[in-house]
Amino acid sequence: MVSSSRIQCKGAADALGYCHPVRRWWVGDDDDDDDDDGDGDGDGDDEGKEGVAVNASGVDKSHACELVAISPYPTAEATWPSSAFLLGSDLKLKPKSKPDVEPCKQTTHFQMLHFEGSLDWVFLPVLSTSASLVSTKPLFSPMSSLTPQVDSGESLPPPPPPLTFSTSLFRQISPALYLQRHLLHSPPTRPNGRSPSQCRDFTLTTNSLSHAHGSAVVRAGDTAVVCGIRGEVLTIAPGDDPSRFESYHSSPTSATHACGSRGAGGASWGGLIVTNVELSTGCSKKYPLGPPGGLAQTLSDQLHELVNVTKLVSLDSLRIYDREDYSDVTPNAKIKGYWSLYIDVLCISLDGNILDAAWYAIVAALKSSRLPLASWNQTEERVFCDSSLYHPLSLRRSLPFTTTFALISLPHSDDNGGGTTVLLNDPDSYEEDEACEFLTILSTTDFEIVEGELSRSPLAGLRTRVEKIEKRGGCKIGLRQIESCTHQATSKAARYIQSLMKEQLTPI
Amino acid sequence: MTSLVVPGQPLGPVSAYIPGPGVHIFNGQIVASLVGQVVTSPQTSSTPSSAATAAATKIPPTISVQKPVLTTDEETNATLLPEVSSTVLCRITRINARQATASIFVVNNHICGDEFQGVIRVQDVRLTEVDKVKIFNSFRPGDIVRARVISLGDQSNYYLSTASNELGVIMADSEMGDPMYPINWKEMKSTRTGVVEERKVAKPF
Amino acid sequence: MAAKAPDRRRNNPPSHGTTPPVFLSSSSGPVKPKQSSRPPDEIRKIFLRTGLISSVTGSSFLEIAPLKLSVSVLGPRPLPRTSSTPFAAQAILTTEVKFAPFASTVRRGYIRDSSERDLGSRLYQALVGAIRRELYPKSRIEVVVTILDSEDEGDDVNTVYIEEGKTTVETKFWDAGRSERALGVVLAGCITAASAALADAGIEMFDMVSGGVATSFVDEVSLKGKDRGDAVSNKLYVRDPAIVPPEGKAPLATCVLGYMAARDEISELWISGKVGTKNGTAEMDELVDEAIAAARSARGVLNEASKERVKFIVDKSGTAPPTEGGTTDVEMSG
Repeated sequence: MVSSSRIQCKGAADALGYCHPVRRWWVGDDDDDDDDDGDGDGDGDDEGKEGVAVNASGVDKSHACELVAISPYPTAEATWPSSAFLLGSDLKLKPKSKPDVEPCKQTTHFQMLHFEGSLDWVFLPVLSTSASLVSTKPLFSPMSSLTPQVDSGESLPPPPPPLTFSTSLFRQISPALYLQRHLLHSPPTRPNGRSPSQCRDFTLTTNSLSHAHGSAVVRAGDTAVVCGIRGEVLTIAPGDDPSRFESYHSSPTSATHACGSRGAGGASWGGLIVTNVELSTGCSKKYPLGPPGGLAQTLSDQLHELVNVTKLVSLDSLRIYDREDYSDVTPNAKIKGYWSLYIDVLCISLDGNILDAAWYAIVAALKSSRLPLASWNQTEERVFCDSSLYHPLSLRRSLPFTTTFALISLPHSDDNGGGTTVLLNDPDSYEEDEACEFLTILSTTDFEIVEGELSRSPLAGLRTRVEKIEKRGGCKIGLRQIESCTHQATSKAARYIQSLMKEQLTPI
Repeated sequence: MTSLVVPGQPLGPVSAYIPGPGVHIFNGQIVASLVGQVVTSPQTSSTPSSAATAAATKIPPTISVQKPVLTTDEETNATLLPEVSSTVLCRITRINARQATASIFVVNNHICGDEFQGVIRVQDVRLTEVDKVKIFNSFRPGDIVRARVISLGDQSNYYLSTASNELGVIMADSEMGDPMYPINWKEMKSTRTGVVEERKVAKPF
Repeated sequence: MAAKAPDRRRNNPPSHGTTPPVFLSSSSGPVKPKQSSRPPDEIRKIFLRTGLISSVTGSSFLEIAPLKLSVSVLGPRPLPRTSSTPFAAQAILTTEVKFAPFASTVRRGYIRDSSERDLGSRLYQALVGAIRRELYPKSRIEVVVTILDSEDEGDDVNTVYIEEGKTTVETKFWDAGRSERALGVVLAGCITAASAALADAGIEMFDMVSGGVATSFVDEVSLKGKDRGDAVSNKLYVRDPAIVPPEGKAPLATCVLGYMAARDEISELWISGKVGTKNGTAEMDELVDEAIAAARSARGVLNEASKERVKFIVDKSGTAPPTEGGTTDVEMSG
């Protein structure tokens, strides 16, 4: 008769080893135990009455393995079998390999973080506190013939093999639980090995395409997007009034337009800038091929709005004048046409948070764009370009960057004293699927650095400012969280601008 | 031992080997169909299960010659399809009086790349007293069920069966949304409220 | 770009319509492009890498000089659940080829155009015979090719505006076979890359298909009005031709093929241009042989690229023998 039942944890991760988990997990006498700690014993005694409940406090914290019982079991009736869902994790993380850079600049990331050790989910029949019950009664009446015969006697029977799931299987079966288990760990660690506030490393390559006027390839973790920008000439018809392109043109359907400050400087005029996102590139098995689905349409629209609302491109660099020489624009020069910019973003590989990657690619591609010098030719009455003179697009002074967070709500547990939430910076698609709320912060970075001084201190003189906050779904993100997110967004924007400048200054 | 081959690469004459998974025969030669390592295992009488696991693993089990098995490389076995008599894990998606529809996501302990749809017809739920089975008392949407493929079915559904002791619901939430644990072969109990619900429960081990 | 019916699912160009920039060149005649110093029997360097996209079954990325394309293989996945789908005892293969809007000289729309559909069906023909489709019943395998950048594929007619004083002169240059050569190189690249992606996906194949392309050129003078006997004799075969013809040469015909080197089978053959009539068979054989040689060279790259990924995985997973359950990735630590 065993009065105190608890699960002994010996050798920590070893105990959850795939081969012999059962040998280590045991309920009963602590005969061979090295005595975790007094606390553990006390828990064991107490819980003998209410069944087996092992939680983090019951196990020596020094072990790399942590046991978390999913719920306390109502074993007052002592029905057999009550089962414990145990999760042991050995959260020692190490990056598998560094991303290797390819000559084509499309970089390879085998950046999966993996567990060293096992994270097995054990469906372990926890034997009842009463040993006699175990040894005498058929365990599972209708199937008794199939169960291994238990030895009667004082010694406990060898436990049957538990139903175990490998980490990847558990991940698939119960994503919410899997995520929660990681985030409840202390320190909270996401399944991908990042901390909640950590974003993925990203790489940027600009102007690697031959036919685009500007292009950028952004890879953040396993999300990769290619943005190409192409200018085409829009000639104003003789009787047409160019003012519709000059004035801020807000479409009545869009609410966001009204929020943007009106005035000169930006260019959303009459749809000169056309932004589209394509996801039907086989970037993920979740998105079907064919015409753009909901996500692609939403993204296209979101980015289109962002380009316009933030007034990223100054209208002046899009105007095409009627002039003979390429000297400075005289006040009386007539506008004969405009450059229309086609911004096309293709998602090559999709693993969550495409908005940030796409927006960063757009900004970087615009920044690297060079348009040929175009002017109106009076004799031919058409716009001709000069193949030898290219000029960069003039963008607004401070470039805005987005940072997206996903909110995961955690259930009530003893550890955190009630249902809490965790905000994950730069969620991957697995986290996105479980998230109930999203937060996107658009922050602006002013860089007041003279190019020569850049090497001295790349981040000196960076000033960031929040420009827009967008929250989608739910009502759990509070002001306090937004504030902390803002800080994260700020530091991320600084990293963006840093890598963008580095790319710009690198000689091709 | 660790030589890598590509599809189309001849491995040897048909007389020397018995073809295993990942190879085909062309012009009297055993030819690789996959990129991977050549595995030769000594026993011809090896059980089909060990052959299947050998195909799924990355490294050859033995060095001896007889049965070349090429290994696939992906961890998630994305090319895996449910076959007749494979054991699958599936999630019940909808139920009606005649059948439960489920989406299969694990085949023979390997996660498949895409979810396949299967149905458990009312006559396939259990072995005995088949006419008394009620789908509603056996499965609910959201349950995780271990089942066996009994037929490739029609164009869209695999036919599944849970007519065995070790097959049935392995994970379920109660109507209140709490996880439940099995108390016997046909009932599960909520961990929080203690409410008992009926299921076709799989033997837990 | 001419104004088309607006696509309701995308952001559309301004209603005025826009035109691609027209350049005015100050020099006379078209800008002489740089000639490559590559020998005619040598193909360009191929960069091929597999397994870059984690969220699909198989993927590859290929780069041949300016051509950049990415291939995803999805599946085998269940067939669409429509009542019209018949039971399929074999896997159904679908291939899609799409140029990015910024991949060619003229901006392409998002709607697949005829040349993209054409490339798609040729890619299908090249691959379908190589896949062991009977192993994957009731499923479909999707091959999606996205071309991010390509060689200037343009038109056969090039219009150049030349500035002469105050006026401009519009001159047209005829560049026959230009688009065939460009599309041929693209198709050959698609075939090679798609095979790599299929291999990466672990889909069983009889053999890997590699793409090869060759063009026959003759002296420009001999093409004009002379009898064709001379032309045949001094033919120049160029494997993996660049868009710029060799100096003083005019293209006759281009051959693209999908070739299974281990079985010596051609799965797809596409010849366009002028192949002689008198001793036509020999001419065609020569051209095809050149394309096969190009495909063989590509196959070498294909093999190495496919093995590279497997090697990487083998190295990563260590050399420990597999356990019974096949979970070699579980490491124990105290």
